[in-house]
Amino acid sequence: MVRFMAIHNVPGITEEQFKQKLDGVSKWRPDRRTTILKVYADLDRGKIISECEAAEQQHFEDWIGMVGWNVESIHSVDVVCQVGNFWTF
Amino acid sequence: MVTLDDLLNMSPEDILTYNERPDDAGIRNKTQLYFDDIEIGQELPKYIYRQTPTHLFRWSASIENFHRIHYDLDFALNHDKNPTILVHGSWKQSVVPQFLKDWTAPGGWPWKARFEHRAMLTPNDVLIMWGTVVDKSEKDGMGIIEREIGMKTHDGIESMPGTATVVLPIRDGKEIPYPFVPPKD
Repeated sequence: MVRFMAIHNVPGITEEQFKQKLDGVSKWRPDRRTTILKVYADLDRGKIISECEAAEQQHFEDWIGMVGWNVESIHSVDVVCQVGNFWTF
Repeated sequence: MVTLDDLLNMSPEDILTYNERPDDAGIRNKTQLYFDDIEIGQELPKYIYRQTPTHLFRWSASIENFHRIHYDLDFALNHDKNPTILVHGSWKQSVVPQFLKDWTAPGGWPWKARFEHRAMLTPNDVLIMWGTVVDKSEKDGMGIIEREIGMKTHDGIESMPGTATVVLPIRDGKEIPYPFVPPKD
């Protein structure tokens, strides 16, 4: 499994529209090997960052296609620091 | 009664509305099922669950299983590379005897069960404990019911395929002994 993150530009997105994209299990886990771990949204600027664990990037891209958010860039994640713990991938 | 196939065609949120697990009063006041009334192919009431992280934490504490994959999201994601924290296999096991016992109560007996754990289950999965009668026979004056059982996820993954044998009284027949004494072949 690989960790990915994507930066999206979705100008004008509202909180309601954001929630509507993610409010069911199948919307954030489209299949059992693809999980959207966390999604951050700056609604004022239309900037969204999504984080995904998947077997391959194409599965993440399939999810992005499903939500329909414009993608600025997609990255594979090498290392995470979370509350003082370092996790290397 | 809604069928398993019907449930699997519903959204997870709709599946949750079809939980047929009896409450305490339902068990206390339950009418005995008799062997004579059971048909091969008959589906049992489906028990629907949706485990939350709080449920998992409580189960870990209850059985003193402190493996971090069950309650430590950071560890589960980043160390074990799991999709999130995982539902305990031991919790799934605990559902089986309840499921069998409820159906046979008050006078029957959940005799034996076997099953395999085949899929990772996570919080927010909607889980369907199901059973279908596949055979019935009489032995030593008791009604023996063979069932296929399992626990499916809302998206149709069979996480725990298995079989079970339960015993029901025959109408106007003898009582099932307690403690249970298996029938002689």
